[in-house]
Amino acid sequence: MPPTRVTPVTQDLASSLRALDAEPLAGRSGVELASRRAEAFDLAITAGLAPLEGMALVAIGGYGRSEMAPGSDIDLLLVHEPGLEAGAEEVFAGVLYPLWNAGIRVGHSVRTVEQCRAESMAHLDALTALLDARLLAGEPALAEQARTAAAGIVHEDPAEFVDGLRMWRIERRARAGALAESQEPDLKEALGGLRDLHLLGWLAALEAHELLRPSERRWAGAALDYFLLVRTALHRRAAGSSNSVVADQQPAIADALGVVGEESWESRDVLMRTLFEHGRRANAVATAVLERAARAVGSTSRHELHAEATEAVLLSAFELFARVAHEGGMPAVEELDRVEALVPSEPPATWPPGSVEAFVTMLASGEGGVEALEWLDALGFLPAVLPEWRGVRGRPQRDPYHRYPADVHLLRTAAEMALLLYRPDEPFAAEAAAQIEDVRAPLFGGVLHDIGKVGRGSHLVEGERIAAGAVRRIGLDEAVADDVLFLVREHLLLSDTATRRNLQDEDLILRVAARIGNPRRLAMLYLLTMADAAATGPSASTPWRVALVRELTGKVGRAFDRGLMDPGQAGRLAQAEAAIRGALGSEPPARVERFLAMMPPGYLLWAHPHEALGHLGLIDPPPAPDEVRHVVQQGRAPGTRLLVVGARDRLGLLAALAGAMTLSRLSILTAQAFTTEEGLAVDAFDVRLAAGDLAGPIDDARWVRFEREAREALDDLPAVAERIRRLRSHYRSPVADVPVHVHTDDEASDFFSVVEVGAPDRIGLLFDLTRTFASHGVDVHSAKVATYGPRVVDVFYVTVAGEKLRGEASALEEALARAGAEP
Amino acid sequence: MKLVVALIKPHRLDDVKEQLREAGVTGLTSIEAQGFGRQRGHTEIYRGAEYQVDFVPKVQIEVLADDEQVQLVVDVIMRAARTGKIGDGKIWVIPVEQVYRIRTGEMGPDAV
Repeated sequence: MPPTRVTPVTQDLASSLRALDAEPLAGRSGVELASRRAEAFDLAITAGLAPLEGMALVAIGGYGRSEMAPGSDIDLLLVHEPGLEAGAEEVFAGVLYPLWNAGIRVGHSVRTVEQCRAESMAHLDALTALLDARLLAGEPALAEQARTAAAGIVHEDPAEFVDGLRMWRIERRARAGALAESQEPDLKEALGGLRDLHLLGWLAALEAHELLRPSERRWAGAALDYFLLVRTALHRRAAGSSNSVVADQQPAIADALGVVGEESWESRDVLMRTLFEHGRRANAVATAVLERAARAVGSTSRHELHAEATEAVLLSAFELFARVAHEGGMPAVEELDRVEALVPSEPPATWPPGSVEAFVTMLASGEGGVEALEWLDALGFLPAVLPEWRGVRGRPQRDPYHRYPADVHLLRTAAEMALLLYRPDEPFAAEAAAQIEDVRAPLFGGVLHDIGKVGRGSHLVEGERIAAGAVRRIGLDEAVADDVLFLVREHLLLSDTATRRNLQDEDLILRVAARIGNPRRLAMLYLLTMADAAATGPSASTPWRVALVRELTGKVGRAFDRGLMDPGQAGRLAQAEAAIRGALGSEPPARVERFLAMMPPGYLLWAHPHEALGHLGLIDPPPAPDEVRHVVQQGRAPGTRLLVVGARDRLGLLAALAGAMTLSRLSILTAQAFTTEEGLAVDAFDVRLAAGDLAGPIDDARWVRFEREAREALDDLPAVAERIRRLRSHYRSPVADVPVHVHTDDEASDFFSVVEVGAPDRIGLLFDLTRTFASHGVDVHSAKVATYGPRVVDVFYVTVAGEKLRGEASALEEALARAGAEP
Repeated sequence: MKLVVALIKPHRLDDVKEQLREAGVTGLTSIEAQGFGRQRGHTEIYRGAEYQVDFVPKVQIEVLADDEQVQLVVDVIMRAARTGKIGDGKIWVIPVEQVYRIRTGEMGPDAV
């Protein structure tokens, strides 16, 4: 009967482990802690064990390597001579039960040497576990035979062994990703994690020369030590065996390790950056070593690349890695040594000629480019020649969207951009890519767009500042550099606007078009938006977001195509806005910016800066529902006054104002109606005293009367219509030979039907036309009214319930024609 | 208790959220949604390229509310989400059998 109680031996083990777990971790060696943990197990397992004859008790796998963390299980193998099965089982029971009773998870197997060999032939993991075998007790020769059996399998078919490890890495990449690319990395399984470091040990069985460069051996040793230390802290915290460094645990692990924060880097960020640096190097080493091993054993391998002889260190390194990116080869060992030895201690002020082209080749090579740049980073070359990269290097991103740390996100965005430029998989991207002749701006825009994520301030503002330094150092042409800075500054414009703003608002579309400036930049920005989303994570590139971004892009594109916005207009708009901002200098800045953001581009281009102060008060604070505010200013034409009215927009507002002016004996020469997205109307009329009017001067009393009439008209439009009809009977009929025409254009705008009415000028004409719109339920969003002698041409931008006219158009046109033709 | 579900235009979400908060509503779930109602799909055109858009992007929000609070929640959403234009969306109210707060085990109105 096997023992079922806790033995003194396991009690000793428990107290040893408790003591180990109480030791501080700051400044410690992970390898040493893991090894001491293994020693505690060794002692517990071998203490009191009777001498083993014809048997060997062997630690395999992680326990064999003496890499024990608090949550690690142990794997034991009892190798025995043939015919000793029963005795071996009995010995093993004596070892295992105390461990099980103490709650320790033990993997175990009892095998002869031949069975070890058969198992290792069948399963790669059994083979590698045996390569790590370490004798605990019993006959050393048996343990050595078992290990030699494993090594023999490797020697029999080294190519199969190497290829098996390469496949295993591909499978791990699919399952656990890469350590340096994951915000919550799996320390063990991810590429660049512990498994890749174990692999280096297993390859020793090949007995091939110089698989590891000296610095790679140092990198691997440092990475192993750090990973084991972090793993110890993680297991202590989480009381489990998970190897994922989840976000919740990162601050506590950083504390436990005594990691100290730096400027703009919290301690947990420093922890993750260090992990990422080790992970990137371990990944590079494992990749390179497996390729070298494949070449050594005659398996298919990537070809070796040698650098062209050149005096410029930077150019030589870039050209070498441009070929890595483009051709898919691997740099030869001596080339890696050379590049590493030539890492400059001071960053170059400008990159030598030809470097940009080599760098562009890397960026344009998609996944190959990512690998090349990760090599340059691992070698320390990238941060040395592009110090602007240091702020994002290994920086975790803590939001629900980002899957990758900042630097990986940038590299992946550039790779996605290359795909969109050279192999677009959707029609909008294909159209955008076709408009771009010079790929430098979109590629550099992709790799630099988040360069401002440095842990302080707005990443757009910081980004433009940092990117400006980067493009100077890189030596980009001024025009390309301008485009890159534009992309960095505006990379969120399309996605933010599309998901948060009203895309039915033409003014918004025009403002976006003005910020973008021209169709080429729109094309680049669309591609960057898509590449950025794809490189961010699944929640950033949902069909929902993509649909909204495409809607916005299409509308802005048509604003350019229709000539509603071009660089000249964008410049004029920016100037007009600046001039109005200057003229409002006496007002609180927040109020001024609110007003400028609210007013449509049409208003900004129309208003004279000195008039704006008068207009500000018309809508800020917003008028009450029945309130009509007005201001009277110098008219645009000689002898006229400019009457500007502010009110809440509503169906019939323009009709009520036109009617009130008619009743106040004011003749309307021109009218401009503006509506804000907030539903406030600013309507401006160039007016003069009606012809032949005897009602007195155009003075304050007349404006007071206008405002009273307007309020009444808003209450009762039909009463105004009747009064105007009576008034008209006192005036002569309009000139008879001016024809009436009404035309509706649905193609001129994405947002409005544009209705043009030409008619003979007469008193109350604008009132009748606008009232006709109101009675058909048609909103007038903006209007331009012009008088040419006896003829009036009025253009109205209208909607019904926010949409263009549909079935209503013909009835409306007929009614407008009747109104225009009335005597 | 009721679950108030509203489909609104994406750009109204911030205002709806803000006004619900001001009205004392402490929790809200929002979901990216796509669908069609009377506002049918359309074709997006960018220069030579076309996309048939069968579903219009909307935001679905869900608010758990006490029976007494339901009308207030509906009114606030209605006011904040309305633009007066086609596609403003819909609100519907569903009876809720029971609500539990996982952390404390509270149930009923206490868990809302």
